[in-house]
Amino acid sequence: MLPAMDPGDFEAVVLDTTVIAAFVFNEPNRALSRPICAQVQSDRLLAFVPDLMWAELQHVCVRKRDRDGLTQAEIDAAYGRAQALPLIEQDRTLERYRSAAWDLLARISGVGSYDMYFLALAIDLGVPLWTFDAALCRAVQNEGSHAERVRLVGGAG
Amino acid sequence: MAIVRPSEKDVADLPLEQPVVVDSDAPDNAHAILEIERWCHRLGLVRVKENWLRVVRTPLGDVRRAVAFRPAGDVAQEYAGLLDEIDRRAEQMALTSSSVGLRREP
Repeated sequence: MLPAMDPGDFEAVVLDTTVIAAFVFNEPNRALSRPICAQVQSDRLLAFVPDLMWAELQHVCVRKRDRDGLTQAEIDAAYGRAQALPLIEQDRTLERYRSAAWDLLARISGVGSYDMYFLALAIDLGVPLWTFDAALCRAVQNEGSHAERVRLVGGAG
Repeated sequence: MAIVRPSEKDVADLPLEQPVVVDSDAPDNAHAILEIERWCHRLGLVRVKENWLRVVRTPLGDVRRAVAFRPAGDVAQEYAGLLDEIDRRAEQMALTSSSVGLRREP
């Protein structure tokens, strides 16, 4: 019989769109997102996303085409790479977390509404939300009640 | 929320690579996967990658069903090729703005 693994090795997180986009595109934060996605691919990190993540990623894709000059073929390929990641999707997030997100928006200033659905999912699952968005981290930490729930990837947050 | 079956004792001597059905009574897919992954990890098992677990009706109520096994080798190696391919393709693209700002732009 093989020895059981150390439970401390197991980690589950909610990944926000910024971490996934940085990996499938060539972004300044790509070097930081690469080891995270490698862990997701190798079963060492369980990564959850709300289904709304796909809408946000689609928005990022078209901004990269319309603003940064990528071709449609390039953004199609990057979007396909995101779909190949073994992300665990929480479905019906608008229905599940509408009230929770609204409560969070009432208390936390300077955040987007989509962010609060990611945070509500992290709170519901009892896992951290990992992001590259320093402003989101600051806003959640300033409010205080969920300060430990948000982690700035590559930073001190 | 619990692992309905099998018991930890049932899998203690599970042979390498032999599949075992794991049922969770968690209320939704995400909670069930999290619970099953934690249970598998603690017992040295690996859940077969399936992002939407099948819901099975049992006399004791609905459960979400996964399949797990005790790996013979390092499962991480199986995915190394895919990561390298993503790296190669992403690095061929032009460097573009961080999505931190882009996702807020209209």
